[in-house]
Amino acid sequence: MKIKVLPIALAFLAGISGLLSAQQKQNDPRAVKIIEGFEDKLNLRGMDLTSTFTLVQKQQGEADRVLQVRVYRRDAADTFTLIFQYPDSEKGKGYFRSKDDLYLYLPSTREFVYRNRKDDVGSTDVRTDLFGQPKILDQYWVSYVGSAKVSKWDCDVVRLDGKALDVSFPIQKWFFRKTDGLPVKAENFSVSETLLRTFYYIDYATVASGKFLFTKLLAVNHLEKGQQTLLTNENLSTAAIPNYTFTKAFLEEQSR
Amino acid sequence: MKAFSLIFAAVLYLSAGLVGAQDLSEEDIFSAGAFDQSVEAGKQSEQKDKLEYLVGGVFLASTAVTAPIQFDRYAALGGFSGKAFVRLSVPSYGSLYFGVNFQQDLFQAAGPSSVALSPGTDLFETKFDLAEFYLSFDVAKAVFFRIGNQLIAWGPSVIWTPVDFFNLEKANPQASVDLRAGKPALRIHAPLGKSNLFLVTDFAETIGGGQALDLADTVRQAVRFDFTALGYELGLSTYFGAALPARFGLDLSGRLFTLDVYAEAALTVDFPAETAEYAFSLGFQRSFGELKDWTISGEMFYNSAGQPNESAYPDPLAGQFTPLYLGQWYVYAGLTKQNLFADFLNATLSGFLNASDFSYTSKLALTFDLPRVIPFTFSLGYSGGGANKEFTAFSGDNALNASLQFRFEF
Repeated sequence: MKIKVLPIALAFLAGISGLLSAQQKQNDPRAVKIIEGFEDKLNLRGMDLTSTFTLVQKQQGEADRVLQVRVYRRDAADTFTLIFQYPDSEKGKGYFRSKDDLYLYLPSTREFVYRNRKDDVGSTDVRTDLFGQPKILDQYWVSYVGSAKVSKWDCDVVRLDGKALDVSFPIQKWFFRKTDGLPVKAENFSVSETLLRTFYYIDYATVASGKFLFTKLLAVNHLEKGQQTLLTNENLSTAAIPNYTFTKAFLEEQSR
Repeated sequence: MKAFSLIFAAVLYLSAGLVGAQDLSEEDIFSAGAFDQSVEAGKQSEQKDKLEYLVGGVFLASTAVTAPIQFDRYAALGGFSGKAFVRLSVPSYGSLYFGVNFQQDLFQAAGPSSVALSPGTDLFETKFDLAEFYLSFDVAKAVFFRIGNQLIAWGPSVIWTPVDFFNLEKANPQASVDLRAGKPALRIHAPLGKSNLFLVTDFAETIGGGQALDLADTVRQAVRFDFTALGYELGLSTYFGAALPARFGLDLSGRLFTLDVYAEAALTVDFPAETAEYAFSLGFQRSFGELKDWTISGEMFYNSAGQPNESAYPDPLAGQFTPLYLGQWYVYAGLTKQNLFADFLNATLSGFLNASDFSYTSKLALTFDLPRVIPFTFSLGYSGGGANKEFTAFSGDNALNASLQFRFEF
């Protein structure tokens, strides 16, 4: 019997390289602790959250663009519903996330279109993950890369490397304030490590004891010079939201 | 001093159009006061009650060639088509929408010239048709009105729309641009909590043979009530008028297990003649893959008014040939992959089967969206199932079709 050496050798090499790459991509315990601490502060399990986001997009040489989005969020069920309320041209559009499924509803054609986490909300500089609960450890390998100063704060810097393709950015660098563990800055990179966007978390509100939500965020686009999106989060409410709100039918009904 | 710093930072923010945030120091970026002022400035510039206008449209340049697999003859056609619109709106008053469709054939060829596979066209005529022209306004955001020539979109189906009682023509799912014309009508929409009521008064028949006719005899009325229940959206609709068979429709859409599902059913009853016709469609869509970039979809349709086989089809050249509604049974299936091999290429494989005459057509469409190049689609199709049937009436049996379309939206 003739043994085919080449395919076996190739398979062996592939296996070894797979093992090596798996070994390279491991979570750093220090980074995990920082992320867990931050996610615990920003996860709002056990409560519903309703709020209104105003997005002001500034582009060089163009008039400001304003969008308003109503967000309904239920972290315990890993779901949220987003409805555009302003301007008229966007009114009725919306997103619905149910675990890993994300739909964009287009009222003009009454279609639900599957989207992934790379979708820019209303063609601004922010992506849908920003509106739901953070799930960094599910989506990224995390590693501690040192300390840095951001504005007046000493920060821990954690690098995130996407575990899968469906992540908002393949590589990110987050800067967490050492005083309270909340992020103040996140740099988002492409696979080739080109800096695409930077998010500055300018202000937070306390939603419940030990639970926080950002209320002011600035997203700077590094590929389009002078382009940035200012995002404010207002009218926060933790009153219970009807289950019906977290359905596609709700989006359809709201778009009329 | 603090106030001065705040004003200075605000000025930096407000001039971000000239000095990008990339150039600001992080100290300035974290100034909450300056942030608020910048947001407020953006909101104020947007909220002025000014005349807004939106101009847009779709332009399609296409060429196609069809030939039986024996390649003993061929037919080819090239031309432009599309639609253009303008919408003027004053937020506190309402908006005016005006849209036109246009079509210009550039060449038509057949060989041998005595055997044409499709009807001849006039190369010296550019067709301009009013697509829609209407005024929209509301009363206290409680009741919404739209008056003028308009298309109405009722029902969730993608391919076959049996509950579309109103429009002059059924939407053609195989067309790249919807070139249908609207009808003169008044549409009233009243949102009612978790439901909606639509009343549409159709004036299209008030003129007949160049003469004004009695409203009581010619005005048609359409009504739709839709609501949500158990996570599904349900719609009930009807369309009626003097001496017109009454039409009733039911539709639903929602999620079933991992599928997006939808269905429409329609019943047409001619009470004096004691006859009834019915039709229904049922479809699904499901996206999968890590990036949800694969989509599979399917739809089936039954139409009691359709023909059980091709023997009684109208003459394809006589203008009465309405594709996708000739037979009784139909099936559609499609598979789409976004970003096939590269992020500039989407591919769709689709097929229609007329299960009454057993003719079919299938198509592979590759859409390229390269930087600095007009997006274009190359399609390769095959039609078969027997000569002179629905999908072979123009192309011939066992025919190949290749087309190239350039499309841009503005």
